[in-house]
Amino acid sequence: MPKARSRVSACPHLPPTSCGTIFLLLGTLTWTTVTLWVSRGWTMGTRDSTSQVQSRDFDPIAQHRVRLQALDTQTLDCGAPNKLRCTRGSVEASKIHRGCLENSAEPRAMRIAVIGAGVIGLSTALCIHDRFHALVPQLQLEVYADRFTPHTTSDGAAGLWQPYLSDHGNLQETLWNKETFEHLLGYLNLPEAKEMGLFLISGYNLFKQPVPDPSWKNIVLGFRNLTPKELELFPGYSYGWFNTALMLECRSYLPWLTNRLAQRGVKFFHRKVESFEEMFSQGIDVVINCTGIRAGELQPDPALQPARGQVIKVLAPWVKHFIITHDMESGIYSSPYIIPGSELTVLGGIYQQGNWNEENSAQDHKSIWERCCRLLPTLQKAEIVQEWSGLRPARPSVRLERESIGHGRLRTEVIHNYGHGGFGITIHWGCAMATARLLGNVLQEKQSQSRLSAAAICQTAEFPPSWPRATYPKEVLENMD
Amino acid sequence: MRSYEVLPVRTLCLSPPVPTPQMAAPRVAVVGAGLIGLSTALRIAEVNPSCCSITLLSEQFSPNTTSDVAAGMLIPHTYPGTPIHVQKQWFKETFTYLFAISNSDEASEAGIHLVSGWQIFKNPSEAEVPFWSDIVLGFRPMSAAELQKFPQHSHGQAFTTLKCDCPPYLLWLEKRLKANGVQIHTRKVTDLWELHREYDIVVNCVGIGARQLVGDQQLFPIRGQVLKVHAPWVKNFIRDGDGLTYIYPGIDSVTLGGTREKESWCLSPDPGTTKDIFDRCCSLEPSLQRAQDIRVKVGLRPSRSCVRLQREVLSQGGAKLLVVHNYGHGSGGFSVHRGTAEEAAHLVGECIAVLQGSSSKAKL
Repeated sequence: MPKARSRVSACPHLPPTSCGTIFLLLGTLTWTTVTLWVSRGWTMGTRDSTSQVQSRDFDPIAQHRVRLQALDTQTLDCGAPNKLRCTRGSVEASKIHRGCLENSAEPRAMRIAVIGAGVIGLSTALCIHDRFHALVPQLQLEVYADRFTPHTTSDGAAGLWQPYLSDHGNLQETLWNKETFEHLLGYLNLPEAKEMGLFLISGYNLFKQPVPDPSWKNIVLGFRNLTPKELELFPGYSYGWFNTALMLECRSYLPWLTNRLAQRGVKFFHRKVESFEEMFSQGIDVVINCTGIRAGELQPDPALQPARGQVIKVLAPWVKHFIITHDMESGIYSSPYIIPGSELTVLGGIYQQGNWNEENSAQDHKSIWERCCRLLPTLQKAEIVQEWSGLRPARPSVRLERESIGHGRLRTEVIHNYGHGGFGITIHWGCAMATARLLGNVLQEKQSQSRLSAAAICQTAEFPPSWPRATYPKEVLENMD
Repeated sequence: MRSYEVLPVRTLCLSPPVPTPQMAAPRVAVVGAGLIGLSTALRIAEVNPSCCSITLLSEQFSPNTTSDVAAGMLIPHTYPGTPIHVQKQWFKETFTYLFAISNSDEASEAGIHLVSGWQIFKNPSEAEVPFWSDIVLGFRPMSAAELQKFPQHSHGQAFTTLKCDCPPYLLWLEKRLKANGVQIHTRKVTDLWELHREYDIVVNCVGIGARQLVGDQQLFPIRGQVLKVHAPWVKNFIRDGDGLTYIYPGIDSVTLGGTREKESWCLSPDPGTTKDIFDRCCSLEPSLQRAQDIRVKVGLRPSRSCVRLQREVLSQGGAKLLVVHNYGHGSGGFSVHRGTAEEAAHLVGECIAVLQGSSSKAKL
């Protein structure tokens, strides 16, 4: 309760008639003061029926509004750069720092930096923007990378949606694969599918012995076993699958994502980020780590290893199906595969764990060429157009999790989304959504923190300094200087 | 001039006739250089090696034949006038022959490749299992998930078949003919009889031209207009069961169709039809709206209730000309061409035997 501003003190030394006059004057003064208090709403909650402060809960934001309403002035932006200090006494009564009110209701800009501009980085950025830009208007999304399309790992990949044969019990990843397929299917019947590099493609998976059906058999379209007549096409293979899946060519998809992001005002920065601290010292609030194979440079991760691949891109427009062979002993993608794209057909079959070399190898070229021509003799007439090597960011499982870096006031959040091996395109949207969900948690936590911080700011600026500090709730006291 | 037709008799294990020393090798002329003419000439050369000389005569060659307009998909058309088992045999022979080429290193030059896709129906009663379902690869009904791509259609069939891209296939056939010693000449034949002095046997593969050349009133055109577009991301074929709307991806272009206009002889593209075809195809495959380089073509399908595969003898005075007809394949030429070429080659063999028989008789 505010104290009365006037004091009545006894004055025993004055004559009786003068004392009576004094008492009368003082009484009038007291009455006037009380009236003023009431009319100005200085007492808590008696003026504004919408204020919640009659309850025991302390709501500084509501308090602030009440005060402003009582002053009966319009809220105006005074234009001062630092809205954190609202020294009402020194500003014209008609001007109120709207920023002060803003800060108590909405925090300052929330800067999210995505590091990495491959399929993971760009799709995660887009998913975050889709999900949060309306809910969190102060969201500021930035993408940092030293390599952009067409120089990312994603650009070299053929782009076929197909998970590995076994999910090793990792049901989370199977779900993310499914979410990605279904998300892409939604775009298939739009003309812009072409701009995205998205189209349906059918083809063959070949084995030398019967194998169990894959986890994704009901995700793709028309999955079935191969007939004996079909197997005649592939001597040496006695078992196989046929299905219709999707192609998503990153040479088109990454520019499409980039355009969408740029249209929404997301900023791009072409530079190598050396550390998470570098980001936070620049005022980034949350970092989304989509650095793929080079994640170890930001934070060591022995589980992340390169799985080197090499491909030959040829002109063979008569090939309309993908053909992927499997050798259960040598492992995924070490057996020849042929994947026709919209312009070039990708020949591959190299998977070298631990090999960091991004240069094309003549020996690998020979191995790919011979094995693919044996698989599909018509390729012998195909013109070789390009050769490319890349490092799949292989990991036993995808690293998709939050991490708090630093402590106290410098405590900030990193959300990791890397380690997608040879199935990045296949899984990208499911992971983007999961990352966005984690970010949602982070934002929620930050928002409730910032409401209290703003209240503290508001308190120090607005509340009269004569108010005893003991009346402030302890959450506010903790956040005050 | 008298002419009488000889019913075709299919002999099994017909061995190539050996020319007798007294008789010069019979001279065979094949008229027409579309798919039927070229494939028939090739088959005759393969079946009757070194026993006859073969010359191919045609006014038009690829890329100006009716065959060049067609997409070349191996999806049979049903001839009402031919027993189903015969059509099935023709299709099977054609499919087997082309399957072997598609799997060899000649495939890209020959323009033969496998393609998978869907035939979709609005009307469930149309979605019967066709007679050729066990010849194409992997034939099965479409799943509900697959049908979601086509919201206007309720049923469908998925399968893998072959496509013969023209001009590549026709040019490859011409190359094979030359390798087999077949002479090729550009010549307009207005009357088969004009060939009777230079040739002993004439094989009539003139397609729609037979209406004029031999006056066959049972032959009529079914006009087809198509678009050939650049849309290399389209990898699967889509065919509406009504046969009017289809999307067939080829090596260098995608064929969008089409129309079936009976008794229309007009070879000029119609712009309204072009737009209509494009719209219908885009409704099945919306990404086609981004197709480039749109070219319009028109062909007249040489339609008949059944393919005319018959021998005929033309004679005037003492002179004779043996004729083998092989025309009237309508919209099913590609699907059965090897099978009918096989049969035509047998008929030519019979003609050669007749000639040798009569020359022996003459000797006596």
